[in-house]
Amino acid sequence: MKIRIKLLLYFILIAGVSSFIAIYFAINSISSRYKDTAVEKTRIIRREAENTFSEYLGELSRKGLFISELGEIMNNMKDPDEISAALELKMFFLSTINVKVVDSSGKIIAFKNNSLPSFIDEKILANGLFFLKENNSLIRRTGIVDLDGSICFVSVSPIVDHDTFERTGDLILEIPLNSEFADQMRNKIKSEIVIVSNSGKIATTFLDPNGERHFPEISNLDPGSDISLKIMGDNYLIDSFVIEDHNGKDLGKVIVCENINDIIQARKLDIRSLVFVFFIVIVSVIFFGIVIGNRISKPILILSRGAESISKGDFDIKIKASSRDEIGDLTNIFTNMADSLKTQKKDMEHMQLYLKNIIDSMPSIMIGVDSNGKVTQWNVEAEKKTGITQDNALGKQVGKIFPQFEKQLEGFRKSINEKKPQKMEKILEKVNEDILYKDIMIYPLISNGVEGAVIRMDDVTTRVRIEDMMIQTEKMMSVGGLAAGMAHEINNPLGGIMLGVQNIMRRLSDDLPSNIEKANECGVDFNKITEYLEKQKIMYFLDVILRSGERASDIVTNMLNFSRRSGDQMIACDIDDVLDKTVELAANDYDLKKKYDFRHIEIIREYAPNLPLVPCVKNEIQQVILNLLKNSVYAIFEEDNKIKEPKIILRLKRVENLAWIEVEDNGPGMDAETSKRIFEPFFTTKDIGVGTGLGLSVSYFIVTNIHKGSMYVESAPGKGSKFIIKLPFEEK
Amino acid sequence: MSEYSILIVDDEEIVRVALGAFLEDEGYKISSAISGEEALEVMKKTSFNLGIIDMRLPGIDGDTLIMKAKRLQPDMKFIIHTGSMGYSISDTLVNAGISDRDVFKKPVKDMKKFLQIIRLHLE
Repeated sequence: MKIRIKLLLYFILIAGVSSFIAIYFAINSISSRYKDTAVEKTRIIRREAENTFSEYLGELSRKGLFISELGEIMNNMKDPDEISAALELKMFFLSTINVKVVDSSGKIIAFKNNSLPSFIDEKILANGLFFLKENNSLIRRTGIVDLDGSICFVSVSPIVDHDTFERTGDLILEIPLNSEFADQMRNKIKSEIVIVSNSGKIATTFLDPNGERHFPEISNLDPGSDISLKIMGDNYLIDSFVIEDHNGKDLGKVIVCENINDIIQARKLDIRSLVFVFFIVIVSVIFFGIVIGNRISKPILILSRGAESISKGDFDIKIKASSRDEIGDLTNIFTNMADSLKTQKKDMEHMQLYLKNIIDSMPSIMIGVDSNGKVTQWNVEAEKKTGITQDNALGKQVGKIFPQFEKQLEGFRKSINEKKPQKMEKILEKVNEDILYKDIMIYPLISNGVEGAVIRMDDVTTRVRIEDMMIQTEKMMSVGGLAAGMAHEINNPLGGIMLGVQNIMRRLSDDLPSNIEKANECGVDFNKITEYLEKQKIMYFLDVILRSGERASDIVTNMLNFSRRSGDQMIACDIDDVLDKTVELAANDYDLKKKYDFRHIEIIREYAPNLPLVPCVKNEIQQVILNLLKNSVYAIFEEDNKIKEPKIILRLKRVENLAWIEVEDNGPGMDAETSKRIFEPFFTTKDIGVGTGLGLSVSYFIVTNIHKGSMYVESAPGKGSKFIIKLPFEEK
Repeated sequence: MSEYSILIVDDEEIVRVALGAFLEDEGYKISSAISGEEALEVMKKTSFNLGIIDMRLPGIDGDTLIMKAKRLQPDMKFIIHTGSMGYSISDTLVNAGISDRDVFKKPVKDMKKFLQIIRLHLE
């Protein structure tokens, strides 16, 4: 439930309950006050009625005295007509009173009933009314009597003879307590009256709508108790007093019915105003509840919307604190939090980008996998090398993308489970014809709770090749070191051998006149000697010795090149010039001139103009180029090859800060295997005795080691060969 | 043709003998020494037109020998005949009038060039 509704309900509950209780007690108190008032009023009226009752009795007594002492009556006891006339004369005085005059025997001699019912007759008189039997009594008596269920005020006054003072009769005044009497009383006390006797209802002032007398049902009527009743639609509060006769006997009750409609009405009005107040309170509580609820909940609502948008990733919220209370503080804190979240998110994104950048910038294939071998990370290099985009790779089994990993999957799991990195070096992979080497490293993720691994794959083909080359070079270096020490020792005897052979050959030739002289001195015909030598192929053997010596010398020379570091000074050279000079050298090379038709090879020069100078040892670079030219020539004129328009292209260009020297021929080219091994020492495709197998490896050594350049070959069978040498330009 | 005398200094016997024989055939008068010290002794008695000197010698080396010999016989010319492949001529020798073309490395494959230089020096 929303806070404002809750607040509202709480307000309503608190205000409602408290005001309800207050109003409940107020109503109670008003009610009881009104009731008290009504009861009091009723009581007062009842007393008034009681007083009225007594007054009636008193008045009846006084009237009895007055009438009984009238001379016309006292003196005319023998003449009832006179009495009747006298009574008639006094009737104005005796309205609502029945008057009877009885003689001493109890016989009614005159009466005036005033159209009222009269309950006193001679029979009752005969039975003795009050005291009538006591004829000698001269005492006037007044009281209330029950006459066969009808209650009457009765006053008996003795009529005393004026002369004898003897009682001659009685004057009986009677007021029956009938409804007309009740009406009279009501007119006095302004309250409805009901009179009941012990045997029944005898008078009422209530009139039903038809004008008939109406006796309300009044059942429980304890004296003094306050009883409210509804009589013919009106509310009454009743009180009563007991009618007693002169002996104190209970004859009946006079019930005073005070109309309390006005009081009830007034009470109702009061209660209504209270209820109205109650509703006003409730309505204002609701109103203020809504206002306060809104004031409290609105900023919370704004905050919650802000939080929602943050949860959706939008940190760009600006909420102004609308107040200086706790919610205002909260809003400020929240805004600050959003700001710092935003900054943090930015930092995080920046960091993510940065990390991704790092991972993507790596020249290695970096693949993240989970413990099931599914790809979770795929960098740019992986995309490049596999041709599979990141979107396609993510979630796939790494074994499916790299079928060669299928075997390694167990290793992955082991690596992940044991949290031990694994390194597999120089894994051989055949792509088409090429052999590639890869290093595969598996680093298990070490963070707790994250299972998986990072696979790093590097193409180390070049490195492996270079390493191989380095190993070879190192080998040759040590050979060179050995050779340097040995060269002198070898060259001295070799020099002797070759000088000796050349001496022998000279002394056996007829070019020297002294040879013939010396032969003659020995008595031998020099021609015979020559004949013998020819027959035994001595000159051929000597020539072979000379050539073998030369080969041995060449090998020693080449091996020594490996040990040379900086024999000659590096001089800034114009490479154009170096290339041209080398071509000149080649043109004059004995072997190239005699054995191969170098002049028939078209030499094409493609030199980029204005190249900077390159620091180099001129004759070494010449040696390298010459070697390449010789190789090309050899390849072009290989026995089986018939190259129609043999040509060699010498290219010189600048790529970045390197001078590129290219020697390209249109010879038969080489297969991949040969290309790969071409720089290896003692690797040769030439016939035994033709090459030492050191030419290209020495060239490689000169370029890479002495000149800090690089050298490689591009070739394919039938496509010729292109050797590329890269030398750094002079540093400025 | 007047007889030119050549001094061969080399610790390798076959070089001394073979080179000597080769040059004798060419009509030169040949003496030889096994070391620099011996060569200097010989030079005190005999004068030479040309010396063919090995650089690596027992005792004093070729450089020193040439410089000392130059003092004994200032007109004497020198050819360097060495078995050290990496040999390059020192500045002192260059100052003494010896140049790259006077350096021959063992083994000398073609004696014709050797002869050319000898003749160049002597004639």
